[in-house]
Amino acid sequence: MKVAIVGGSGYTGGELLRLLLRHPKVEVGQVTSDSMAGKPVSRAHPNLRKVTDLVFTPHADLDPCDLLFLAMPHGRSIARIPEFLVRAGKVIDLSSDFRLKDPALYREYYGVDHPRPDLLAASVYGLPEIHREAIRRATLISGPGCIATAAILAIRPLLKAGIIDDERLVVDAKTGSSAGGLDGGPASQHAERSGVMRVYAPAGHRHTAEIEQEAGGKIALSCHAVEAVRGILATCHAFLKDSVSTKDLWKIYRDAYGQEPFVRIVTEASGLYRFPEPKILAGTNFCDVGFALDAHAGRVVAIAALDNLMKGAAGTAVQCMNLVAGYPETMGLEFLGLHPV
Amino acid sequence: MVECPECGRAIEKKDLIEGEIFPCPDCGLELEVTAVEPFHVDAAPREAEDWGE
Repeated sequence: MKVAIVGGSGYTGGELLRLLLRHPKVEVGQVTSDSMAGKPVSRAHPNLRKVTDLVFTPHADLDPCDLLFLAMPHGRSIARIPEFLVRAGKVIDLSSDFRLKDPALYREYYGVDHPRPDLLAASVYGLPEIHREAIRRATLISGPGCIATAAILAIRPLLKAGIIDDERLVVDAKTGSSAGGLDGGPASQHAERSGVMRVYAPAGHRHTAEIEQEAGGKIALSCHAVEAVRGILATCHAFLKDSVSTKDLWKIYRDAYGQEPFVRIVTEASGLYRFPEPKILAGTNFCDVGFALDAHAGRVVAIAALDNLMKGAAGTAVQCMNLVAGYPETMGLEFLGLHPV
Repeated sequence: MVECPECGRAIEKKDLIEGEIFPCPDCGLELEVTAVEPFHVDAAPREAEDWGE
């Protein structure tokens, strides 16, 4: 399969390229970037030195291919989607442009009317754990948000099981600096970011709408910036309708994820890593999901960890590509991570 | 076949012997084989720990 990446000079584009260059069934034909046109891709992604001779090409020089990854900033590629679909037939957009199905919600969270609401209904939310069969048949796939992915995978099984109050769900998310992208602004300067423990979105984060759309329930999401480059940790507080046992929770999560190649249930009685922790997931496509029962407060604490650039972006996009192409779902995504790291 | 008392994971007898302690493959709880015929496991006694905090 011949693919191209539009907007490949950022962190997500670099992560896509890292995965695709070693994918046994993929040839990367082009990587576009207007700001870096003519320069080798290794200038933006030094980990790819001596691995590829690819040079960034201008967006306007995009050639036809089998599948196109869009790694542009939010809102920048919407107008060209029809053209991209003609050039490639299949498009996986890693921006937030097509995640929300409801144009009114898009306006509420993004502050503008969606320019192509007709395409919202046609796109598929690209989280294989929920929409695997639809992804196989899709032409336009929208890559989920990183915080949203963690929160959805943590709480959806509880909501589906009907054991928690769906009007009172708190998601507390911590995120590393790379989630802000290459142009994270002054907040990403070392002097501001070093040692940070900052509440950057106590309420109103855009991923709230995605989580509600895909998991259900009414979500109270708060987001924090922490001292890490990669990683999302979502700690979710759900309140039980009736008492349940730890064994009941195990059954709920096993039923949801027992067959999933990239979701591991991590709730262990001993050891240093008893619950999901992003530190050991850097570079992997795993989302580790765990839980704890708080009988005193009638609460389940559901926890999910992932690498925001992998399962939170490029990794899931490649997983979707594998589904679209009929390749084994885990192909090119086998890295197991590092420990210690 | 018996279940882990913590998470409900099915535990196979295999070649386990009485008194053997092993972790549950899912939740990591230390289990002790308390009988072989019929096969039975319980949570192994453990010392309290502060997990480094």
